[in-house]
Amino acid sequence: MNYELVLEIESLLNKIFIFSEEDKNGILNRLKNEPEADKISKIKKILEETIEYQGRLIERKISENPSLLEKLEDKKKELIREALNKYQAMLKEDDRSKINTILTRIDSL
Amino acid sequence: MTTEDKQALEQVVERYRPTIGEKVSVPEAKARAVVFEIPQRSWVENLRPAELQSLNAELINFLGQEIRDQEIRNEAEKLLAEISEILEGKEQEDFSEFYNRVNRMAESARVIDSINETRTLDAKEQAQVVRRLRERDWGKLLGENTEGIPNLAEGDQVINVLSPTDEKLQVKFLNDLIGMSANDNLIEKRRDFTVEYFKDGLKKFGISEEDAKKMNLEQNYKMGFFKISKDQLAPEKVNDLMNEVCERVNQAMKEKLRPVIKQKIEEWGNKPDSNEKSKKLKALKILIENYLGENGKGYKINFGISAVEGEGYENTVSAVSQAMEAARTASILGEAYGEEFSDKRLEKVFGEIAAIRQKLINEKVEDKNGQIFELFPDGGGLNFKVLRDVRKGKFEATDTDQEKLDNLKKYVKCINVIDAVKPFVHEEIQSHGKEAVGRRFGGFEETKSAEAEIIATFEKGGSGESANDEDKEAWVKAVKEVKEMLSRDAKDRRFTSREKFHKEASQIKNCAYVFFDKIDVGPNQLANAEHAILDAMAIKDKSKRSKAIEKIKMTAGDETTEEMRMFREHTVQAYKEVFGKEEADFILGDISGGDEINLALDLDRFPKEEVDLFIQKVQSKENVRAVNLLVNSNERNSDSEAGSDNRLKEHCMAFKKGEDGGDLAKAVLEKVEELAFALRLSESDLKKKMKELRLGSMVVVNNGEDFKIRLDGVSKLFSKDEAFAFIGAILKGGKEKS
Repeated sequence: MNYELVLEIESLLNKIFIFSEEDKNGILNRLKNEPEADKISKIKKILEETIEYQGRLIERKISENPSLLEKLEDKKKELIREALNKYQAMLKEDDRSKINTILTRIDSL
Repeated sequence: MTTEDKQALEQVVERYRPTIGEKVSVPEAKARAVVFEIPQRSWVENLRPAELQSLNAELINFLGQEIRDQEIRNEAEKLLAEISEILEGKEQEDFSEFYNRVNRMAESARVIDSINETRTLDAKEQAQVVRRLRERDWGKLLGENTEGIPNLAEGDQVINVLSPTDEKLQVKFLNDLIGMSANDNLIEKRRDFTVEYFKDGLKKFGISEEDAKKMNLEQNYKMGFFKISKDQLAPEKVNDLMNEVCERVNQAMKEKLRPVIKQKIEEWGNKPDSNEKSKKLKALKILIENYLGENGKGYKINFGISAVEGEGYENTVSAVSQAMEAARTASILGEAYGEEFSDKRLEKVFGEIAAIRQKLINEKVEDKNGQIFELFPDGGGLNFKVLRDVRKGKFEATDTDQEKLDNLKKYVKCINVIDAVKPFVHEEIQSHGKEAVGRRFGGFEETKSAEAEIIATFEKGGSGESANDEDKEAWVKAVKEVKEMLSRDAKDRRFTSREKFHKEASQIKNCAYVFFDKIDVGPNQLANAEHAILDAMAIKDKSKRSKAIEKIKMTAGDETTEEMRMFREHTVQAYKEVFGKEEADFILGDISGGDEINLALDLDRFPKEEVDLFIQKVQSKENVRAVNLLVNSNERNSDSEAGSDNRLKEHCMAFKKGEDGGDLAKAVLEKVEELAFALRLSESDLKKKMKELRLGSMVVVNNGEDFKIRLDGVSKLFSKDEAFAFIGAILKGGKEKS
């Protein structure tokens, strides 16, 4: 397997939101068995272009619908809170205060 | 947000700027920062990487759900198909097929170049040359034998056999589905079966195989022609014979096609890994279930018959056209495999056109992207975009509009009943007759009998030591003629033949390829036919209507023929003006299908600025998409010998690359249509905006990197997205004003 290249592809795919999860997994699974580095490089180029396209797309979508950025911020807060809660449960008592400080800061955003 | 966090966000935004350059605006960078930069924000530094990753993935998914609309889904599907093609190696497969074809052509050109007055051709070379000589016009349809007797004469019944017209069995559809090579094999089988069963069928009527062979006039990838004189076989018997031939071809082709389709299904398995494949797999299964099964529709070919009613080309052309029309009529009305031409049957098809139009006159149709089209705007002909997409089989209607789409497909198929583009127009046949046809066919002055003599000489195989003086003399004369004839294009002798083009272009080290593609030739031809038919059907007086229909039959395709000639004329004129008169006597160009002209220009002889000027001049006269691809010497392996495999491969790669440029040009024009529709721009507004967009001067250029779009008077070269943004800005401006 072209390990390095596939890792790069995986990282690019993680940034792509115009493909469904199923499509992304499909690409990755096929690439893991792909012996030709040349093919993987070509796909890498397409994915890089896709990310550029997404960038312009976000810009356009935000200009059409300014509340999208707020929605994203809200979702981000929600997800971070969820993750921190999970993390907090795993922490020892003396670390809890540290997390609480972070949560207070998030709430102030 | 605290000041500290604001600063942190600003830092992230700034960090993004240099990586994606000036194209990135603040909102975009901000959005990207939100989505991609969470792991680097100070207030989440205590989180573990794995948790961060899943956090990021969830956000990405959320974003996808929020904004993934139909437009984005379409774009994603295209990108996924592109990825899939790379993984399946389709790109390489396509390239190998193309390379093999070009290689065969270049090889053929080398054979022509190598012929000389004393050389004897081997059997393979001989067959190659004779085949090419025969392919130069409508086969033997308008040819003569060496005594000057026409191949088709009064009393001959012309039989046209048409390949399946069902959309699921058409050449283009199957090419897409099973690949060109596999489909080429099937086409060859279909031709062989047709000829074999035709000869076999004639045996019953006591006609020898030798005589039957002479009745086979031409077989090409789409259709074939036979002739039987009325004296040899009465019309009703010809009808029976051909019905039997078609039925046997149907059964034999089902047997040939079934394993090919099954193999493809097995190859892809039942778990397709892309949308594209899943669509194809579905189509393959439909073929097995609905077409190739015991009670399936089968592989239905059609035939049409029409007799030559008098002497001269006008009668011959009329019979050939009518035989083609009868085959199409049979395919539309669908009761038998074929029929003899009759005006009544043609009128019945025209009646279908009028009836469907009447039924849908006030209707609209919605496509899967949610676009709604008025079918017959202002009570005129079919909406041009709908016509174009239905013709290409690209129109996807919503489930509720499927019935309308079926009617539209039938409507377009009915209009296509008079599809016969000839290399001459009706008026020429009427006014100049034989000489005009001889001249018009490839612009050569020689008569058809002289051509037959040349072919006969080449069939003998050339001039060896043992040849007598008469044969030697005929050979010397024929060699000279053939070298000239086969080096030049059959439609227009001012251009090289396709074979010569590929051979010569691959030898230019510093080359500018220019690809012209005339826009919407096929749909325009259909729209012209539609209007002519509707006008004729609106005539109440029966005899006047018959006259109008007669005119349609005889002049079908004339406008397209004229248009194609003008396109070539404008190209030659511009060539003359820019590069000089002498250069325009024999242009290194490949006329492909009539609506495309591909040129190779030696940059060591013609400066780049002149090439640009030349393109500009052609565009000022013609509505063409232009792709200009420069291949510099450093891209061609200078160690490769001219004429070597490597050189030819490099040439093929450049040619294939030109297709990508063409796709970009198409995408830009499609974007204009899409946006104009979405913004509800009126036609007059759009016209004004089109001028502002300067798309008439659009040239897609490539200097070794990616393709860029160049517009007249705009110094900037646009990428695809920049071009889309430019179009959007100008069209939206149009809306605000209106």
